[in-house]
Amino acid sequence: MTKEEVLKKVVDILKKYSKSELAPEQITMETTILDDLKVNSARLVDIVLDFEDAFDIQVDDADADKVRTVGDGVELILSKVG
Amino acid sequence: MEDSQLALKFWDKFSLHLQRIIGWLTFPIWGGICILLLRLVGRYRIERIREIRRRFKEIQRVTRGPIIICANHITKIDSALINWGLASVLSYMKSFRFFSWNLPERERYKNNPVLRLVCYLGSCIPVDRGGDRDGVQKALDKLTYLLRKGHAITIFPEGKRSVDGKVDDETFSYSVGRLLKSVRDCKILCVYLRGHKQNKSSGIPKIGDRIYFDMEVIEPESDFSGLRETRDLAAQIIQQLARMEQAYFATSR
Repeated sequence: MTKEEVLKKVVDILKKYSKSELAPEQITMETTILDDLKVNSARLVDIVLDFEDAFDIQVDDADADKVRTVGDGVELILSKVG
Repeated sequence: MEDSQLALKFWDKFSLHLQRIIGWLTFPIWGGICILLLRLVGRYRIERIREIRRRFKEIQRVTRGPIIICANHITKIDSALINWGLASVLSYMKSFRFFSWNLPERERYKNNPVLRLVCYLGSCIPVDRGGDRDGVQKALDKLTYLLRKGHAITIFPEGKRSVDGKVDDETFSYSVGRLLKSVRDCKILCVYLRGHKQNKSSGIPKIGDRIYFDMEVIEPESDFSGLRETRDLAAQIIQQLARMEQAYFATSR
């Protein structure tokens, strides 16, 4: 799976939780989930659980805490799917 | 997770213990003033307060270990009402570990020196809601450390005051699930409190209101692991609070 494919899926997942006006094509690897996408911090766990389901991976609490940007999420997924 | 894995330095632990000792030594003064304000200025009354305190003593005796008090959140003084309801000043002086720590939002009181002093004495650990993850993690590490030392803490699992005054069992915080995973022998004391005149969220209950106070000990368990376990444990607590709310509206309104 390429980085671009993962990014596209991640953006699709994030759209569900985002309260920002940012268009999907404006979301980059540097986009921050809490500040730029205006996601409620309590929903970060739900987002990572959606990553688990979408990519069939397992993420622990410590790894989930490191996800701050879209790129962090993409890199985490890539590290788990191998 | 071992104590050594917590991101707490010696100074962090020392500060917590120092805060606690100063809070305890001065408790008869500020605790007494707070209760007088609640009783005489607010004219609040907690229903069945003797029975609640008797039950809390029994819970302390039976559980012995750490307790997380998980409550619904409607007013800014819920923590004060909970501590007032659960034990008397004298009981807290004898066993201050049951005076619960709590986590107010720093933004609310950082510019008010009196509130900052009250929060310091009243065992508050300030947090920046939605702030950087390191800050939130450090607050969680402090709570984990305190629980392992046998202290009680109060958490509002909804993560914020309920706007419509009802327990929000859909968009709640999962932090309590993480704490439970870190301190396995911890008991959850679910507390549902509400002024009878309280229809929605407000700063304080209506003056002269009688406060309904119900509590239940639960021990959430989950067949899941990882983040799903965190979510499942938190969900069980919020569902218990929702059930207690249903019971309140079925019997008291």
